[in-house]
Amino acid sequence: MSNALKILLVDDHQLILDGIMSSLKKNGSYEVVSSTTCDDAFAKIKKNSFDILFTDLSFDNTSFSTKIESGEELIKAIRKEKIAIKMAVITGHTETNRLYNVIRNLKPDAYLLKNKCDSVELDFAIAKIMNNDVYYSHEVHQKLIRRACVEIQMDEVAIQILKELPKQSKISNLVGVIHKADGSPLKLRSIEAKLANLRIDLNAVNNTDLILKAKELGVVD
Amino acid sequence: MLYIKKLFLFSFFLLGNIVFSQKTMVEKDSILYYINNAKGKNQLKELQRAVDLAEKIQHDSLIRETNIKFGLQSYFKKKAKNVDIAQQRLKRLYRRSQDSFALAKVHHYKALFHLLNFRSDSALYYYVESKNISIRIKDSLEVGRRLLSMANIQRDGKDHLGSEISAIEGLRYLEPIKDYRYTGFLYTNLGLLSSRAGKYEEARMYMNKAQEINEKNPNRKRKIRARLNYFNNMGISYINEGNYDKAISFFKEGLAFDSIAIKFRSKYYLLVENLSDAYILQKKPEKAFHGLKEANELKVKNNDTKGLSTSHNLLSKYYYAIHDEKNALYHAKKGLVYAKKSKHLLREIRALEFLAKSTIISRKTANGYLKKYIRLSDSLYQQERTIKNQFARIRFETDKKEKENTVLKNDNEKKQLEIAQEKQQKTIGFLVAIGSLLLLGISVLVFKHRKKKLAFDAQLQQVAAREEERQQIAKSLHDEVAGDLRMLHHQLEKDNQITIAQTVDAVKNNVRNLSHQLSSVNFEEVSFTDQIVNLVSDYFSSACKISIRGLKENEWSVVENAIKRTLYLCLRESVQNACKYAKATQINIGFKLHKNNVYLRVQDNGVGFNVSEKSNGIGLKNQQERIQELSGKIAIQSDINKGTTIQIEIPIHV
Repeated sequence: MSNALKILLVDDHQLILDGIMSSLKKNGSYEVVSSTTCDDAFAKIKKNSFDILFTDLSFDNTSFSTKIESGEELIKAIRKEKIAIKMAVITGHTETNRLYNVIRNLKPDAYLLKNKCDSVELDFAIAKIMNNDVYYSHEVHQKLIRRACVEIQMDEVAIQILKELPKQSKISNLVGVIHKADGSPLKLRSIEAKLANLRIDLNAVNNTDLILKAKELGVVD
Repeated sequence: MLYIKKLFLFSFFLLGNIVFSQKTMVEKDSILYYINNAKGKNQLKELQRAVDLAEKIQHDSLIRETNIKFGLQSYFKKKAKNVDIAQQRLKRLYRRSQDSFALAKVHHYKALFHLLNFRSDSALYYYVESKNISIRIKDSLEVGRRLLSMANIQRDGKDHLGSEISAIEGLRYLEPIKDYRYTGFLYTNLGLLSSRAGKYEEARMYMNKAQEINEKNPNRKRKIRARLNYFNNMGISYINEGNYDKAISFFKEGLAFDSIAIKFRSKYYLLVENLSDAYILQKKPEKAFHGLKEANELKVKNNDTKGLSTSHNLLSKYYYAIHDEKNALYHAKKGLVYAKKSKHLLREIRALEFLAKSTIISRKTANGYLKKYIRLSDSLYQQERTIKNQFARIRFETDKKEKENTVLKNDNEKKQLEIAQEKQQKTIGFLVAIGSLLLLGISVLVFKHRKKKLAFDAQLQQVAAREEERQQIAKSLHDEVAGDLRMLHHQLEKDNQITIAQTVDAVKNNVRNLSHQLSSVNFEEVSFTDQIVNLVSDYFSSACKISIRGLKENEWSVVENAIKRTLYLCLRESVQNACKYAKATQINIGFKLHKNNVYLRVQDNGVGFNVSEKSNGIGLKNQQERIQELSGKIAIQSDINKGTTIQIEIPIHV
């Protein structure tokens, strides 16, 4: 069993813990330990070495003696101790505010939504994590892309580029067409940098894909 | 036609004007003609005509000029009445025009009038008055001339000191303006005074100075007259000194002047008589007779009272010198008569002296004359003293008046200073009043501002307290209610009552959501901008596009958290309504942050609703409440199928 990945599963709901454990055990190659409080989980991590931590974000079972009250705090505490462990969030929180802040500030290796999660997705996520990749559930991706859309909507230059790009055969033709808020023209390098950022934000493989995605998402008409 | 008519009218008008102005021009010209050409026998008549014309056209400066000329010529012609008339006319002019020069002339001519009536003290008084007016109007020439007249009157009245003072004062006015004629006269006067005081060297020094100045006089006739005067005066000073030869040489030098007897008759007699006198005194009376006789005859012809008294006195002196007592007596008596007529004491006394001398042979009568001479001499001495005293009094009174004037002036200045001070005090008072008023106003404003600020702070605290309350409720909902529901859920699960358990779980989730809604956002960990973006992202889709303006452009740290929270919650409410109920496909959100206010505008293209209907839901009511708590305003504009626009304005400072 030494080759099996050691997984620590933390959630305040025993039912959820049971559900996820059964999904993981379908594959059968993991050694899974569960905990219902962050304090207990943190103690276990410090005591034994785990490969992966799966944690919820909010815990309803806190009391006055609780030191670590949320999944965010648990991740921070582990980071602080510099313990080598892959950290994944598995939660029901789908509000953009929470997931955006967790992803941006704590940079977990995975963000999964427990109500939609099955054994296939879990295996896929674990494989990605262990391959030093990052995995987000499809809905989380959608949320992040939507957020990017809102940001792009506020970016006059980005909107200009997205509107003008389909009309031009070459990117260099955009020079002189795209202007900053103060009226000065944007240089080619700045346009290219902006396009690269847009592709990342909207998860596009190339500029054509970017335009299609932007239209699909409603960033441009 | 019209042009011609106009032209005609115009030329007529012009012609009339020319004619009219020509008329006055003619009158002015004739006045000037009369003034300039009035000479000889008809001089006064012509001047009178000029005066009449000037009065007729009521030309003030011409009235002044003509009357001055008329008065002066009348004085030379010894027409006292005319002088008085001129004086009265000038007085009228002064009353009408307040012309101070005219007033000075009024006093001057009054003095001349008194002089013609041999009242030298009154004359002196009016000269002083005239002089003072001229000083006031800074007319140096007139001042100098009046002082010269005064000096002459004082010298004649034997007020030598007064005369000297007047002369020196006169020089002070005349020398700076480079007047040669009267400056010369003043020096001559000083010379005569010194001569009388026996200081002959000094006298001749003054006379030489006078002569030096006279030579600069551009008027040839006057220059010559002054030169003749000079020879005469120098001669007299030598006579007085007893140096008759020198005196005779000066008189002769004067008489040697070309055709003097015709051109300068009066000077000629003066020189002739003085030369004769010098001969008599030199005990060469035979050389004197011819000149004396000639002078006497001409003076008789000219009815020269003053001159005749001198002439007869000299003749008496001559006859006495050649021991012709009868003729000496005759002329002495005649001299006395003319001396009395001219009211000239010195001449009278001299006449008496000769009378006494001529009758000295017949002792009886001589004694009588001698006694009379002594008595008159005494009375002369007395009179001289009275005159001197009178002159001194006039001088004193003038000084006193001047002093009083100065005192009055000082008083006036003091009063004006007081008035100015009072005014200043009033101004200061006024300023102080304004200042206090301003201060009061500012205090009131500051007080009001403070009050407002306190109220604002209190409001914020109130909002914060309410927020805390909400958080408390949220927490107890989350911890207690949801916790209890979880326990119930567990129990039901254990009892295998799955359907009920699921319902309880749903209720629990609702409670948790409600708790999340109640528990407010915290802007300390996540910025306002990010929170708004995150909020909007939850509602953004290709079916419902949302654009935000004015969010990243503003600095939100200056805005109180309570305000930001309200903005956030209102925005959530509005966007939720627009997306979920109004089915909007486009929502435009605009933020504006000004100096004193923050504005939020949410506009959608959804189905809209009837604003007047009161059943607008708890969400809108909550929004309004929160905004009112912060003294803000909310305006909702909506119509069925026309979308909704919500505008919020909240003050960020007092």
